[in-house]
Amino acid sequence: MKEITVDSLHWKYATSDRWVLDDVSFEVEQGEFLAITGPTGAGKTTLCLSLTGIIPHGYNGVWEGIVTVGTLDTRRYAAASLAQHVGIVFQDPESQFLTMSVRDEIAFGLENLALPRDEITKRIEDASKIVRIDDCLDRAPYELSGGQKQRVAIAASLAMQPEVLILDEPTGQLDPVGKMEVFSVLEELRRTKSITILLVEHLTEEIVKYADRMMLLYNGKIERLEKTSKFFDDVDFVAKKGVPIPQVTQLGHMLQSQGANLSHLPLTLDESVVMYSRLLDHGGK
Amino acid sequence: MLVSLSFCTLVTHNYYLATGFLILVLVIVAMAKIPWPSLRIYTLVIGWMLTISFILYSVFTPVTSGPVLFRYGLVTVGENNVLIWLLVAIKWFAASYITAVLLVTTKQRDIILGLRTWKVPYIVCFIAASVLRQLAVVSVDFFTAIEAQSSRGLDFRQGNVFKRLARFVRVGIPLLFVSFKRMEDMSNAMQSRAFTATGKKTLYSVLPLKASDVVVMLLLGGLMVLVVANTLLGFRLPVIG
Repeated sequence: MKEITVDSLHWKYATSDRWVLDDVSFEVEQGEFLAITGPTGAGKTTLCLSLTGIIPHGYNGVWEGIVTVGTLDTRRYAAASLAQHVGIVFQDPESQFLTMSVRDEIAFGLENLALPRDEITKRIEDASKIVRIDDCLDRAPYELSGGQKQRVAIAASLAMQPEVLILDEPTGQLDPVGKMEVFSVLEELRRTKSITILLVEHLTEEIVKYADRMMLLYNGKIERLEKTSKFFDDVDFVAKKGVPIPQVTQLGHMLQSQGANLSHLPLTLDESVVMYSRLLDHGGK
Repeated sequence: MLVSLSFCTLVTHNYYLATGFLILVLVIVAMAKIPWPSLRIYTLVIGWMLTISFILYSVFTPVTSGPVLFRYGLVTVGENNVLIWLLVAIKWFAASYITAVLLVTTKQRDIILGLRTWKVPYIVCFIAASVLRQLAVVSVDFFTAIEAQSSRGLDFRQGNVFKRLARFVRVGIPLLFVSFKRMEDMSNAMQSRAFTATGKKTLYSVLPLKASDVVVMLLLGGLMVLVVANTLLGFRLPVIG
């Protein structure tokens, strides 16, 4: 079942001369994990905002095409109405906090949905357990580490029980420890929830572990949309578009160009260990 | 208490009452063990404001009644001007010190929860929370901008006041851009979490109102009524000397 359908989407901000999103079309299945990558200015954040309804409702500009989340056309529903269906986590953890405690932060969206207090309490507990912040519910968000802050932001979205969760470069401002904390939450979500996830991220080394498919957005156009296992088949093309290639994939590509016989390029360290061990057993051929 | 004492102090024209409120505030400051560094910034700001206002009173406010205490060129210091200035000083110190008590002794979250308990409209509570939250964020951005400019050789401690102020423009510009970006992010975050200014909402976190709270609120409310009545009935300025 299709969770997201984007059909020939064009978007231009009132201040921009060119289409920031230029004829973007794709579909995402329910429960799928789609990673979106591309250089700065490719239109990744704009695409995320379009899927939540914040564009076109919160920005001035020119919109063409159709975006449907579930059965809802995002042009017809304000972002606040779509919030129960699509959650979004932004890059900067500081800017997205609106209250004085972690508990209130998670409760904020639920208060806006006018849920009963018991239900809010239950959802806060559930969401905070999933992202492992249940021990800091009464702390102020600004007292937390970067990784914890982003986990709070994820919990705040999860608590609204959306069908789709969008994460727009959630590790962009985090240190290595914080990045790993966020990725471990994504792994947990992948394992325990059937939620559809769209992740904008540059750390290809990590996203290849989780993503079912990967999209390369470049100058507002989809340049590549493939299953993760196929995404790096044309390494030179992807690298030319500014996408970092996982090191083990790069090594495989270099070995292939030296004549090594690899069935496909490995993406993860575990996979590469198996492949390269086999290669060594066969005398490097 | 903050609202009530600030209101009473600022409303009254009676020297004895204003002085009484200032003493009450100072007692509260002592009881709450507010550290001097927390009060110093208020004292400095109020001190500067009072100095400037005294100069303005002395230069621009004509002495229309009462004896003249001092006259030199454009500067004329009248007794009534001094008395008014003194009353303003008492009011400002009382109001600012009680604000310091609130901010030092009360968590920001509890301030907002207090407003909710008082049934202040949701949107007002939200704006107050956002302001308190953004003050903390902007102050961090401010010091980050100062550090960034300092690392490029801009020295904020050298030169006269005007030169130093001019250098702060270089902090203000990046701060302005960062603040715009933060406002945009905050607006997006609000929309993505179903925020609308109107419509039914649940107030999840509220402070339960105890009987003692009600008694204190009634007493302070009564005090406010008395002070307003006193002010409306019109007490004359006491004659000094």
